[in-house]
Amino acid sequence: MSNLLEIQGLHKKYGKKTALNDINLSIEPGHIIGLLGPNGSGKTTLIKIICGLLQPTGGSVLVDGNPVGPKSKAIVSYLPDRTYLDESMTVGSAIDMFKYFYDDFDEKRAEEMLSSLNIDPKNKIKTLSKGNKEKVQLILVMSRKAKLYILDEPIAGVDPAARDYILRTIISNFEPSASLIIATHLISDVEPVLDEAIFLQDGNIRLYKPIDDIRVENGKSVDALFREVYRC
Amino acid sequence: MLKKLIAYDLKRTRPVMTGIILFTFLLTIIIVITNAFTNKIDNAQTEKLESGLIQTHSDNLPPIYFTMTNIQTIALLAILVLATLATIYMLRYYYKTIYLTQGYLSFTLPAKTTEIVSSKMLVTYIWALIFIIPSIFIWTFGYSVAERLFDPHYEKLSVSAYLPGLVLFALDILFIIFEIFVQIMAFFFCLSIGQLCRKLKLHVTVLSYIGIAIASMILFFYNMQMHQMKRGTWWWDYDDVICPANIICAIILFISFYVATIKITNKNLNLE
Repeated sequence: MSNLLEIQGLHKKYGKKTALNDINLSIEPGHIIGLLGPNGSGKTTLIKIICGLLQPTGGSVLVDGNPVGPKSKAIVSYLPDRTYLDESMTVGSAIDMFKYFYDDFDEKRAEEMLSSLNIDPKNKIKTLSKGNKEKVQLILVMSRKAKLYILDEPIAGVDPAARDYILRTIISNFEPSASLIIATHLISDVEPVLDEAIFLQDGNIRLYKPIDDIRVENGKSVDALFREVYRC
Repeated sequence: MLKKLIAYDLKRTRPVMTGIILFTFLLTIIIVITNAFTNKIDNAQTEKLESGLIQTHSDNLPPIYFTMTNIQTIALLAILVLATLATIYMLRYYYKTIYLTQGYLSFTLPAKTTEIVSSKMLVTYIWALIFIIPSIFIWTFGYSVAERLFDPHYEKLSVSAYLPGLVLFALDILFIIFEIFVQIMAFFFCLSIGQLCRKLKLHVTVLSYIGIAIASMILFFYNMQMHQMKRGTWWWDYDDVICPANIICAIILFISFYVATIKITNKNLNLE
């Protein structure tokens, strides 16, 4: 099976500061991967490079054999860690926009999920609560039949009930043949859904293993291992 | 994908820009109508002297004349304000969708960076053309009609006599529109320059635009002056404003600003 994401020798520097240092990574289809690390470890930088929001200093990134560009963006569904929709838009016009630009967008799925949350498509995004804004963005992202989903801190800043909803939505809506990368600090919440974990520290990959192997080898949960590895 | 992006950006900006443009047309029509009134009153006070000169007796102008003139002035100022608001709105749309959090959405669309940035530039120019060209047409047509109707000394010119003046006027307008486009492209360039700084981005943008605007004005008037001095001595004896040097400089600046903006955005986009 060919790799969905192939990263070789990836470097990113901001002036003298190295954000990513010689990252090598291969991700196959059909996996849910946790991208874990403390603040400043390089998670968001790595994600932005994969999504085409940043240019690397060196190295290569291939998404399903395509270099980062229009073809890779067409198969990557990205949820950033902030509200990125125009808040003067209505929820309905956000759906129309995704339908207009993405051939793989499933409008019916999005409408069903919105309906289950009792969110009226005529509501403007700025009138929604923070939690509902996050949910709307997540619904738009997960309603695409993408090959690679990348979610940056999807459950940060929302209440536990909303976190459960978000994780259920993620698991029930992503394509089984796709892969999903979740960057998060809230490891205990996402650990039950992960297949593999990548630990990033100071721009380097410290660990990349299946979750079960981590638990067996270390005799502890990924959350406990994270706290130990990144103890201040 | 470029066509899709342009269609989408036009749709997003349509509500505000349509309102501004329609209001501008209304003000232009008001100017044309008030000008017709003042023309009529003016021409009623004129007499043609033996020397052929037209003399106006402005002592007898009624108060309504000055009211109409004031309305024209206010309408003209309002058009300038609307033009400024339209420019600010489109630049703000460009800035928000490229450099603020909406940029996450723009740059993850399945399109090249060049297409994403160029779409917003093109939409700005499309609105500028929709704003300027009909306004000029209404203005020119209205003034011509008023002159024809109310000027007792109006002399109808033959097409061959009228055409060169019309062509020169059209070329002047096209050049002025292109110069406006160059300045808008300079704005886009300065916004990208501002993004290279970690702090004081808007300050750097404004300062770099002021610098470019002053430099381009100096260049423009220098070229015009040089051409005036050359008049009658070389092949271009057409117009000082649209002399070859000014046309070439405008084209070079436009292309340079565009290429630089795309290169900077491609290499240095950072939405942090």
